[in-house]
Amino acid sequence: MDHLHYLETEAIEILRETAFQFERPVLLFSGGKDSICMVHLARLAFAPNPIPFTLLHIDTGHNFTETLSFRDNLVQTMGLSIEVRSVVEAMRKREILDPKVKFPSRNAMQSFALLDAIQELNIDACIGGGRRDEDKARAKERIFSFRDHEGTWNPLSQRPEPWTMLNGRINPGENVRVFPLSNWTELDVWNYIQREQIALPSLYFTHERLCVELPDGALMAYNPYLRLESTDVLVERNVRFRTIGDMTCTAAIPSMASSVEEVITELNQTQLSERGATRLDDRISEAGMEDRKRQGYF
Amino acid sequence: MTGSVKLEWKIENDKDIFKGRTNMRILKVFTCGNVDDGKSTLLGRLLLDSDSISVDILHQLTEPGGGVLNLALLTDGLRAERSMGITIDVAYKFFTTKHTKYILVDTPGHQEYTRNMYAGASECEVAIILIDALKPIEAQTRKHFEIMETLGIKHLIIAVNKMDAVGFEHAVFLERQTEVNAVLNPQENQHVHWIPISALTGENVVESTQAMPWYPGPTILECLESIPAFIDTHSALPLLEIQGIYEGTAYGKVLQGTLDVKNTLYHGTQSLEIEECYVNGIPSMVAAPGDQVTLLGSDIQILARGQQWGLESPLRGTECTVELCWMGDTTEPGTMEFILRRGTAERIARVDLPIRINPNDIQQITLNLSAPIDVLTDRIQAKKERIILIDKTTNATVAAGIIKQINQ
Repeated sequence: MDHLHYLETEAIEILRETAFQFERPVLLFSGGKDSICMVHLARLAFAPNPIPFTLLHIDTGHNFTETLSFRDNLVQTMGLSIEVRSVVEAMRKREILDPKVKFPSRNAMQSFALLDAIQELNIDACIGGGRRDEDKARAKERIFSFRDHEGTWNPLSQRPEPWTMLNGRINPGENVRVFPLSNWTELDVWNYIQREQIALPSLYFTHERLCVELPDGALMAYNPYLRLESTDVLVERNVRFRTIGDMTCTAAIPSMASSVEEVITELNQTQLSERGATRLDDRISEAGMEDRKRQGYF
Repeated sequence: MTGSVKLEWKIENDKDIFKGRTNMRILKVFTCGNVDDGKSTLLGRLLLDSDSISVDILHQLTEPGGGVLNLALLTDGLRAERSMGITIDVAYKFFTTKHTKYILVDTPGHQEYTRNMYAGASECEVAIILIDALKPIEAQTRKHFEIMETLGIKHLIIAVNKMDAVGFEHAVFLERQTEVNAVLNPQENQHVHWIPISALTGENVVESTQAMPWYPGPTILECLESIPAFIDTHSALPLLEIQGIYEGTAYGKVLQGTLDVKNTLYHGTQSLEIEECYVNGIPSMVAAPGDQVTLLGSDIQILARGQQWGLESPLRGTECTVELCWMGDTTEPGTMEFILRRGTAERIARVDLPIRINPNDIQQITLNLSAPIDVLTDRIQAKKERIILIDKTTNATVAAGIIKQINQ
């Protein structure tokens, strides 16, 4: 069994356990490569029958238009059902305004919309695309990751998962986050995309884009949500995105990679980690991910 | 803080052959050792020398003011771990060589968190056990060996670390070997590999060394690379476990053997003919051990989650003896009930606990089940009949263990 077959089999088993242990699971869909892979895996897991999960998109309102049109196209061609919940709406309910900073991220605010959706739709399991290689807090997280009735992750009292025997039993009001791609790396995902010929949004491949160049060299896609200053420099560059998040906090990388194969070659040579290269929101503090996860983040 | 060492590193660009291949095997390895035995340093060495740490991550690990890497920060990913300077829970790290994707499970050495070590170790084929050359082996190391024995870990790499601090003396290595051999009872199918190393200076971790001419054997990485791919017994008769039924279709897993669509499978007195089979979503006439299958046919309605279907007659009983690692809180003697999970099967299990049981205890107990379960003798001997116990109120996983015996 080669490693991609192993990882695929493991993910399928986790997806099936989710379907059979929970009543109302949803598949969290962001339009990024990991969630697109999960839709593909879910199709394989339940073929020839339809995917038994509704997709849930937590929409920050800061999405790239390419992401949204890819999402709508995927849902339509594959006959999926999807719920979209708005971060802006969740912020309005709580009277929270966008931070008045140059790059106003709604990343942490996604947790509000997610927790609202869990309550509203009575969701007992959320399948997410998180991987253990992304971040040191994620590296500690279980595959079935328990959340109490407030949506809190308590990293010091996680349920042990010997032999990957997944315990999804919960009481009403509690939920479980499910991570089928736990043991995948960024390169595993790309090699799998190549093997399975999975279609991705064009943002992942080289294109010309107007960017704001930051002093440390980071390239932010020019968009109406940035609070630019007169000294900011706009440049036209050949870039691609290594991760797809909010337009306000995801940096592009200079790249000429125009195919999956070229992206794999590029990743083999890079000396930066995936999130380190692209995510402004992860540069905040050493425990950024752990703290957000404790408060209900994906 | 443990793991704070000065370590030289350089980024080499000639190692891209290590990454991005598609035909690698998977090897699951866990590391364990007492606090301060150098576990974080060893992990850091393996990851650094296999070019698996990005530059930005290295910067996060480097203390301000020059070159000192705190390698514990690589795996101690939680606030509490960093503030206490110890590993509390399992961390998963990955690195690849030309032929292998390694899933590296870093488990805590601290006595209090032995249960996390048990859970992390449970699925691994290989253990790297660190022994400190500077001091005699301690009680916690004996406990680690007890767990390897319980779990039946196939390959034990016993690394005697800090050899640089004892002048690379062969006599010290032999001394530790004698101590360990007095408490270690390797089973027939367990392989023990002894390697003298210095994680700090790198001897025998990835690179071999001239410092210990008395040791002609492999480095840790060479040893890992030489361990044959774990092959489940294709020769065993097929055994299928049902995960569930959806839209009149059965979903399951091949636990062992090769499943052929033409096989007739049995569960008690019932028999099953398969008409169509999918492996990982693709139509297929056969499925290999470990494969996820989808089954179609007119017999599907007799299948249910938790059942095992096969060609051999299993033992069927309601009383089973298990060797447990206790993961819940301290529990006083008495009669109590738990939910038992074996694969996808669930039963209510009644326990008459004769003595108080504490977290991290390894204990043999007898369970009375609400309904019989099927168990194959061969799988008991191979330690493949594994269970967890779940608290009926909190739903927490309070114990994990291996079935030793079933009474009909």
